[in-house]
Amino acid sequence: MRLVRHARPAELIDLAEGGGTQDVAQHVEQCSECRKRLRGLRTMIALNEMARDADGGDVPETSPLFWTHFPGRVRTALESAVHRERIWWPDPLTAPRAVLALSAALLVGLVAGFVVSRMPVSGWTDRQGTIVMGEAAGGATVVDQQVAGEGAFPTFPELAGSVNEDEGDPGWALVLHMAESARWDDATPIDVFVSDGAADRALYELSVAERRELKRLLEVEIGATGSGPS
Amino acid sequence: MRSVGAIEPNTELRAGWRELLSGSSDLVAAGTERYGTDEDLVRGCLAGSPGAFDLFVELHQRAVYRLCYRFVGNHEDAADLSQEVFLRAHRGLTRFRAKSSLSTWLYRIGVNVCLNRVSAKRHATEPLELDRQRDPRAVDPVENIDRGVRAARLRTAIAQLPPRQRAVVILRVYHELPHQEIAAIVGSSVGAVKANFFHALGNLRRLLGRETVSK
Repeated sequence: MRLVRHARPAELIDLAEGGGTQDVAQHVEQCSECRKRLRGLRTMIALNEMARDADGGDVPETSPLFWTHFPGRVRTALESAVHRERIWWPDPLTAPRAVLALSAALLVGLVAGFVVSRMPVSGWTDRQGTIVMGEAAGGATVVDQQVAGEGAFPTFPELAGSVNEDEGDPGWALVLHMAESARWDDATPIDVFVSDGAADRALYELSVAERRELKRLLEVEIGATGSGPS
Repeated sequence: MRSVGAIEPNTELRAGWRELLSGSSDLVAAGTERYGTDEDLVRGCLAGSPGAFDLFVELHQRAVYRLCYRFVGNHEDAADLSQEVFLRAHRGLTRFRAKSSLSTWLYRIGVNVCLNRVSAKRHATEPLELDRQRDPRAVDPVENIDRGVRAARLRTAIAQLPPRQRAVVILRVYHELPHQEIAAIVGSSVGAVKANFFHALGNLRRLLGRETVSK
């Protein structure tokens, strides 16, 4: 059966590589366009094969030592990959106390942060785009510029200043650096862990107003879930 | 079917590995005897049998390196990419189902790793060593230089092809893989692979220019 169309790319590739069907071959013999395409394909395949078979091949031979050491190189890379995974995923079975204590401290910190951010500020009633100064319950001076219509919370300049100082402090940078590379598995045997009662101590750090707010929040939560003592 | 845990460490193979690493022959054959099929070798690797993964690397390192070299054109990057291919293979061994051969599976990982790399970064290719391993008296030096120059230009042109076309040319011409296997590696149909090959050769012809091709 004779083709009434040009040969498709896949059919031409088959012909160029020595395969293809009789119908396509007959068509190409009579079609100058397909013949031209086929000739171009064969030239390019031959050129590629010439490059492949060029002196020493297209990929230079590497040192035999490279092949000797390559499996070891892969093994080393695998081991260091496993080591990195261990650092990022401490086994909770080997450091349960530390993880739990840290989680508790983190929870208290989050609650304290939430309490501070919601704390009422005396003298802060103006919401019409004027500068407001007042005193927070903890004694900090509050300076903030209110945008009309927005209920922005006050900022604490002293606190912000201390954070900035910490970031520039070389001692703090050292602590951060050590904490980043610390592993629970290594820290526990040398008695470096979050001690019992750390969460309690963090609680004592709260001011009277913060503790009062924390108590209120806990009561609300206990009342909502019904899990408190009857 | 044997369970993964049923494979015992092969002490003979372990001892033989020292010889293998010192360049002795016949040990790949010994390992191939121990792990008769791809599945056996993969099972050995998963069971942590000593030397199993080293053998896996040893068996395929040259093919993987050549594939990577053809994508990036220099030794350092090819070595790094080959290592990355084996790391990914190690992580993915549990997903190997022996529907295709281990080498096809590795090529698939290799092509993905290489395409990711070359799409992120342009690579400088090493200069072609025109007179490498050849007696200058054996051939016409003019023809020798001409071939070398054409091979270098071809390599540069291949590096400019779209990623999939590039992969198909490398796998078809340089690794001499059948279209079916290439289809399995690049995840497409045989027809699509042939069409990619067709367009790649057309693009190469355009990139090289008629003058060079017709010489």
